[in-house]
Amino acid sequence: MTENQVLFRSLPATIFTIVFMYLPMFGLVLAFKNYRFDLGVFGSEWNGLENFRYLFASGTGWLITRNTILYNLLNLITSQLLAVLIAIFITEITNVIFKKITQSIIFLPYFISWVIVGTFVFALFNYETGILNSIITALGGEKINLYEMPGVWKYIICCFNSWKWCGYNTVIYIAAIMGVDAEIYEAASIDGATIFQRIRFITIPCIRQTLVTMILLQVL
Amino acid sequence: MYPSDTGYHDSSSGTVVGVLLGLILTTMTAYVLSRKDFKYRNKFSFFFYFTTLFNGGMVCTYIFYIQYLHLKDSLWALILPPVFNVFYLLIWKILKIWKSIWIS
Repeated sequence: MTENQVLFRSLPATIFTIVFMYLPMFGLVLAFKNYRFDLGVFGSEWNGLENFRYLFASGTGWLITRNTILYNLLNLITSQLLAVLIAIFITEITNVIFKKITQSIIFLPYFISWVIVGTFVFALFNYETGILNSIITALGGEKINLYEMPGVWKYIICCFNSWKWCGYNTVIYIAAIMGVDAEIYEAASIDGATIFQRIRFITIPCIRQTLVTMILLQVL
Repeated sequence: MYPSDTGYHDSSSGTVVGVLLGLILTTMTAYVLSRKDFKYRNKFSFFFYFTTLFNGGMVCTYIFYIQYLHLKDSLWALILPPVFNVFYLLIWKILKIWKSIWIS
């Protein structure tokens, strides 16, 4: 397989990336222009930073940025790191049927779209007819109106985000753990390592590359 | 009444074409990028991964498709955007099955 043949194989994807991903980047100038449909992207007049002035002048610009960063961090911890833990546990399971069933069930919520999740969260936490409030009143308590408490929602959003994304990330980490040589594990068990030591010193460094990549993708 | 009258015809044929195209493109690039003796390996990798950092975003991509590629009413607008996903390229590289294919 010569060098030219290899280059030729990378050609379709390169053309695709240039056309569909690099060329639209020129549209980023739109943020600085007063866009009008008939003049197109390059004919519209230059607006400078005027479009951004409202965003930061109203005082909520920095609050929005801070919230976005915090949400991203929390989602990273709950979905990625939790998925690593779950992946390690699943690879330790010896019963094959149970392992496959667990993987499938954990993976399912990835396919449910956020609109539907919103609908059944509403059904759960609704004030009049929600399941949570029905249980509380059946046990004799006061109804809680979660939709009036903005502070609770950051935790609820993180929980549902991790419920949705853990399965997907777990499958990727299981694939990464399967790629580790079994000889290292055998050598460790001959040397007398316990299970926790084996996890800490072999599994985690071997999937460190995958972990870094996934965290980087999640942040972006 | 007929299967081709419903929306499923477009959706399923578009899905099949998109998946096939995507598979072919992604596996070709994953193979190329995992060969260690490929001279331009670092440059091509940077070229692909850079799109995850900086891309045009939803607005620019939409305007690009409508005005410059004229994909407004066509089925290709459903097929083409998700065909080559760098994320899936990364997953193919993670799988590490290229060692066995590389020798041959």
